[in-house]
Amino acid sequence: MSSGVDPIEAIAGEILLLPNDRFLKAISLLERVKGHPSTQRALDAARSRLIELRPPRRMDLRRLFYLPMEDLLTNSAVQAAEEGRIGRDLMAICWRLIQDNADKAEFQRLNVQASEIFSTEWEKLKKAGERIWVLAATSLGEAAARAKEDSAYASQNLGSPESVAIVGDLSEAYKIAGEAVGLKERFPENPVVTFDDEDYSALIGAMKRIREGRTGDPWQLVWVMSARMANPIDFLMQFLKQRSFEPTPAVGPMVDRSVNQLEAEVGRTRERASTSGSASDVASQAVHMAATLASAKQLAKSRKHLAEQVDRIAVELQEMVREVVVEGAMESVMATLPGLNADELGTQPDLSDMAKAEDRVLALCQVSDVDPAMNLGPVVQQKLKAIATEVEKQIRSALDQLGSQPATPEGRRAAEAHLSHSTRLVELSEGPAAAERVMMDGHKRINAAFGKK
Amino acid sequence: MATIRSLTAATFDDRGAAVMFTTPLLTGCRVRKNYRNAYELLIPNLAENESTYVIPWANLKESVTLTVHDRMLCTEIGQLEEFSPLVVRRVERKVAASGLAGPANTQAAIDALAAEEAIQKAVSDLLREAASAAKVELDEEKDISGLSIAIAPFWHLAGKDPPTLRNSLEQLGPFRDSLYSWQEGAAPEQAAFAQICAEVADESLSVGLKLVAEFDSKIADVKGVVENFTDDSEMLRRLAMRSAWLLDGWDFVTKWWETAKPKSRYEQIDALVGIARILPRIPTKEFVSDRAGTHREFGAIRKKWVRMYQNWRTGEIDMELRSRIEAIKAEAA
Repeated sequence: MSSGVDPIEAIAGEILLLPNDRFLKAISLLERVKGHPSTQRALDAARSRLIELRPPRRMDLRRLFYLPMEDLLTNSAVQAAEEGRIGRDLMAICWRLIQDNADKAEFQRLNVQASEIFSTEWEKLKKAGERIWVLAATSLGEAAARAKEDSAYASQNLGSPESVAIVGDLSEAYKIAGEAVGLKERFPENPVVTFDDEDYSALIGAMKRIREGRTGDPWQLVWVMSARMANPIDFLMQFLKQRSFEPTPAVGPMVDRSVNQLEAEVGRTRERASTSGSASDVASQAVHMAATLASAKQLAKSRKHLAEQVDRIAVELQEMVREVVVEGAMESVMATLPGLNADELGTQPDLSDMAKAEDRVLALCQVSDVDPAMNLGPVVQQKLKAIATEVEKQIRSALDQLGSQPATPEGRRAAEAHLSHSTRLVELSEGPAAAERVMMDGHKRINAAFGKK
Repeated sequence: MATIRSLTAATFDDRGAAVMFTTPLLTGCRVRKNYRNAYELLIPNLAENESTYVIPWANLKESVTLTVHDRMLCTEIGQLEEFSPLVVRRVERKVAASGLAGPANTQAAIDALAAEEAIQKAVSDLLREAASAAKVELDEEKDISGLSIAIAPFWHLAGKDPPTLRNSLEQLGPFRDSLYSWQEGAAPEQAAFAQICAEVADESLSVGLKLVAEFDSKIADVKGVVENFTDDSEMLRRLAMRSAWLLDGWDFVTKWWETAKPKSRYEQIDALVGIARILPRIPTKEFVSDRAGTHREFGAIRKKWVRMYQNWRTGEIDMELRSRIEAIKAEAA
């Protein structure tokens, strides 16, 4: 290797050519000298392959600090306050606070210890994290207590007065961080879709350990884990039903925040839906949110103060589905069918327009059986039926115009393509039997105009 | 309806050719000719057990609620006189090009048919040139056109895109590697599943590479092939046909995994269950394998998983599931 060429730069390209196991070994060595600009460039180049291979990552103390709370992190400060999340900016502030308060030599030692561990070595992670999580709980608790008394300190050290309560909650959550990390190993996926009896018992077991060790509030564990669940309200409800753990003062706000979360999610989806995204994407999100809403309705039966909010969410969700999925579906679909002038029928239909029309129908199919309490089923069914009828009528009338045009092979192909599109739309909205009727009838008309194939 | 015990067929004829239906219930189905020379459909795992259901082709439309695309495909395949995976594939593309499998499939099928035709023409031209250089008289219809149709899907011409079968073969290595890396850190049953899928892919890949090597070394001397046309053309046809049977069904499998890869772990597991159900294992009597254990082990592991099924009892088609299948079909066209 000639002098003047950065050695890492020189091997960066070759690393990508290595087989999986040796590639990962090379990356783990590179991670040890992270911070050097050429190392970072080499790591950036390897990123896409790393995403696929998902190798265990080498830890450091900062990553270890973030680990138990990473599901609670958010980029939005508003979301943080209302939904019990932690803004990433605030988390960075907390990290600095802990760094400033800690004993430098101990910090250095912990950092070295952490760098010896990989992200999949759960037992080692729990052990290595113990100290930093205790430090976090203490420093953040002290900072929150002081900030409560001293607003100048609050704005100087925690960014804003709203952060004080969040930092206080965070210090409580850090008291149960070890158990939270232990459970993360059990639920490697995010979000967790299936949460069965065994999982429930594992969580109850962890809560019991917290209670016996008097290390913190067992309910904090429920809160931290709920951030990882696909249906957090349903998850919370399972714990509200049990009798081994009396609700602590933390439980009330926890439940309220989970409903706030759903409300905000519906709002955000609605906002995004109005600007971009396909109707079927919105529909599948709506189906998911309807399931959480059903749980929220159950919750509101025992917590009356939530009833109004839950009703509001139901209305909002229903309106969103109506606006994005139901309204305008007919017009979008019909716009892709040939009109009654023969020119349109003689031109091949546009594939991307066809895909959009199908997406609208598919979105309707998806929401057709969402929570019956949303009262959308009949409206959607009617809409689907109406679309099938209109499409059938339109393609039939259009094909009747064929006779007035010269019979060319291109004309036939275009007419057949239009017929296939209509057949698909009827199939999606009403089913294969109706679609086949449309297709047979259409072919009869095409044969009448162009002669039998 | 008859059932057969094991999913590992004895011969390629037994295993049948893969058909890419869009009706969710029929994912991974195969078609074959029975001893009376009539077509029949094989549905794997219909009752969530190890059996494969065999339905006479003529009864298919009455037995299952089919999408319009599938009804048309069913009619077209039922009328085929010549039968091989490549012929079935061509019919599939023609039906998809009609638009009945959705816009994405329409374009993919039209492109695939055009590419197939272009490669066939290039192969015919090459054979014709070689014949005239070697001053050998070949029949245009029977010899040149017949051989080019048979070997074009397997002959990777220099400077051209790889043909269908080479494409399928190239997918196997990445599929295997991706599953090997996926299984690390997976729960034991899931890891075992991924491992077996990867091993079956690896086995097909190594057999496929041998066929490629044999084919390429023969075709490297086109002039020699033309001069010794009767024997050599027969050998090339046999190699191409064998690889067509070997690789049949893998496209759908590898693309299914590709579409699942960026999704959540749950969806990946779901895809893996589906894939394992239709994995194109090499029939037991076709190749002597040093990994016969793979096949025995497969049944034992497969039973541990129960897969949620679509709404097949009501006969209604799950439109969303169907659109997902169509998306994979478009990729695999």
